[in-house]
Amino acid sequence: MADGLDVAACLDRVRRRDEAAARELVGHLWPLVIKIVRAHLPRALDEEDLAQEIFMKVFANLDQFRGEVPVEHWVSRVAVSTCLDRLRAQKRRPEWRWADLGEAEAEVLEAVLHNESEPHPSQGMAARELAVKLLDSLGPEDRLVINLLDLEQRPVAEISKLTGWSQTLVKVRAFRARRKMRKRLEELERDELRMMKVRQGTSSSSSSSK
Amino acid sequence: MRVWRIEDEDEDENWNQTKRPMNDKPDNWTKLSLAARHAPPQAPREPPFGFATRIAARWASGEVLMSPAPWEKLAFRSLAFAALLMIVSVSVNYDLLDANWLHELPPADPVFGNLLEP
Repeated sequence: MADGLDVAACLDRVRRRDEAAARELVGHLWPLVIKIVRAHLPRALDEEDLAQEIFMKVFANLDQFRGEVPVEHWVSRVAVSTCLDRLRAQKRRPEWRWADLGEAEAEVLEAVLHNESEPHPSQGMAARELAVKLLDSLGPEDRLVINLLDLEQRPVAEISKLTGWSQTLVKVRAFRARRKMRKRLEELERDELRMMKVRQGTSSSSSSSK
Repeated sequence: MRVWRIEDEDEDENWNQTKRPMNDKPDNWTKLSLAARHAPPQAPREPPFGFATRIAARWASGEVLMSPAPWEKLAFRSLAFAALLMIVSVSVNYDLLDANWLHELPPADPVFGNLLEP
């Protein structure tokens, strides 16, 4: 990372219980941890609370870090496993319907379902929000793998290292998760058609009554 | 249409959607995830004011989040299992217990019989 911190020396100082070094290490690792937290944050959880939990785990297990891999890799793994634990603890998985979507999200979905090309890049933010909403309905492992692979574009080998799963398992999980996502989108499409029929029904009945 | 199989992909290659064959029409999820990647990245900001100090202070005071011991992880499950076992054993042996409460079966020792007499 670009803050010019000598990580090895900082870790040595932290091991000698230097509080200032611990602060420096938190500042150095913050961008990495918050990026992972934001990508995998379960709903109704505060990102700062989750980041705090990750840092406390990092400090609690610092003696187990042997320095065989860069500290950032090790911390990423701790962060991903903590996020996975939190996702597993989340009992409720909302099933979104067409009516629950915002205007921008509905426009993106319309483009995804009915246009040959993908939505316009300017709709990226809404597309991301819609994708995250749909990911909410997946199980924790499926959600994690598809987020890392399809949204963050991480290679399978890296996901395997981060999660501790074999590369084959990562691929199988991604394959199943993608199938579920396609199914969710088809369900939303059916929901849209149902709503359109209801609207047409109400408009024709009101015009005939006039 | 060509079926895209897991085995088609090389182990060492990135297994992301950009590796799909060109003649394959992108499915709905692929289109959505490609669009989602255009979202502007949220710039990693500085930690909130006092965050690093708070973490360092908690760590320095010895208040660290230790990973729970294996028996701690099992404690609640064991308790629930023991309760379930108790309910099953009571329900299976209910007749015997019920008969004892109603003095239908004489106690094994007459001493207990005298004690149980009202």
